[in-house]
Amino acid sequence: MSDRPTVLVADDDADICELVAFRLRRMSCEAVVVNDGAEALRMATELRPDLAILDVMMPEHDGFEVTRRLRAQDRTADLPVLLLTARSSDSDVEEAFAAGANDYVRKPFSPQELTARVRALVGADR
Amino acid sequence: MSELKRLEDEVQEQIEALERLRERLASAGGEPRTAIAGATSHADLEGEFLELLSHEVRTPLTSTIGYLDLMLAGDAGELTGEQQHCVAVARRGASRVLQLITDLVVVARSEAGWLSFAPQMVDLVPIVAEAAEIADTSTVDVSVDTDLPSAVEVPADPDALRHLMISLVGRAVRQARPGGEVEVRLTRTGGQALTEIEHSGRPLPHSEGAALSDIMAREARAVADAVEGGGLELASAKAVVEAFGGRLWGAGDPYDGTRLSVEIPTADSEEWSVPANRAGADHE
Repeated sequence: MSDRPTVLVADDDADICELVAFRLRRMSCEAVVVNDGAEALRMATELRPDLAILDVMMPEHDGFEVTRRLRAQDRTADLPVLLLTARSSDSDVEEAFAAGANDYVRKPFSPQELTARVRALVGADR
Repeated sequence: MSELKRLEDEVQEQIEALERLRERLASAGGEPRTAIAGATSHADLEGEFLELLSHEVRTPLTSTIGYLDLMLAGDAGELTGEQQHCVAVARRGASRVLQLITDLVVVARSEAGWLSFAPQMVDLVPIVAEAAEIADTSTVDVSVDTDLPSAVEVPADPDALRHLMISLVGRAVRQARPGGEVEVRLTRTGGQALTEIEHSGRPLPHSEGAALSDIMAREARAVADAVEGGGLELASAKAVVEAFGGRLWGAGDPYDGTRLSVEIPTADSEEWSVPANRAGADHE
């Protein structure tokens, strides 16, 4: 079992998944990638990662719904959640916190911004 | 290198397509033929459409900007000086697309009466200092000087205020004469925080057959008109400043340069109030 933090990345855009996973690996994290909300919920429950990075707009369940469901089950109630939003308004941010997310990042984000948020939530190096 | 050229061309095409779209939407009139979720007027429809467009553009931009940043950071291998320059140019182009779509949404929201912010007390000084600090002078011979007090608190949205100042200082740097300078001053007078952003002028173009006075008059009119809708960037800035209960105006001439002034009521100002048609009117 690796002692590196495991981070679940859920986004239906493969390029963004690859970008985030690339950055996580540079931070010495294990990245597990899925492409929809239902799969994100299943993997988060099964793996109990150290962090879940969820896109807001995903098929099956959106990032808000996945966050709410994670908070509702004992096994994942304390899992740190970072939401990615491409919306320009503040309403997504308010809904993110209302759903139980720990933090959010607006798209497009810089590698430094993502690194800082991940580090704050899992204490990963780099 | 051909891939970089293709990326630059793609970014430029996106900028031009968005400009054309904006012009079409601005010139469209009458009743909308289709309805987007609750839109009841042309302004509502335009605002809804631009919100949707913003989301759709931000997603591919996340990949574009993200991978360019990785290259600039050397995470994808060491770049030569020329490659570094090319990637930096492409990155700036991507930033312009993002700026453009952000400005489009702000202006559309303002026109539809949706633009509102939840104000909190914000110290304007570090925000202005940061805008001056991060202004991109990497490819232009322009210096940025500041004259700032210790603290000036205003009731505003910190993210929108930061975006506003970065936009205005960045614009001044882009428009300054090569070898010139941008001065950023912040003063507090009579319940108002006044930020002045001044840049040295560009030399007049040498145009055979055109009288110097005609050129000067035309350039002076362009400066005077700039704040009143001459540019999307300034129209967006003006809408944000007015949502804070402040005002934005410009003055200058092509020899001495241009000065943009942003006045925002301070936290203890009796004049400050959220405009009635905007308070709590956030669409979402």
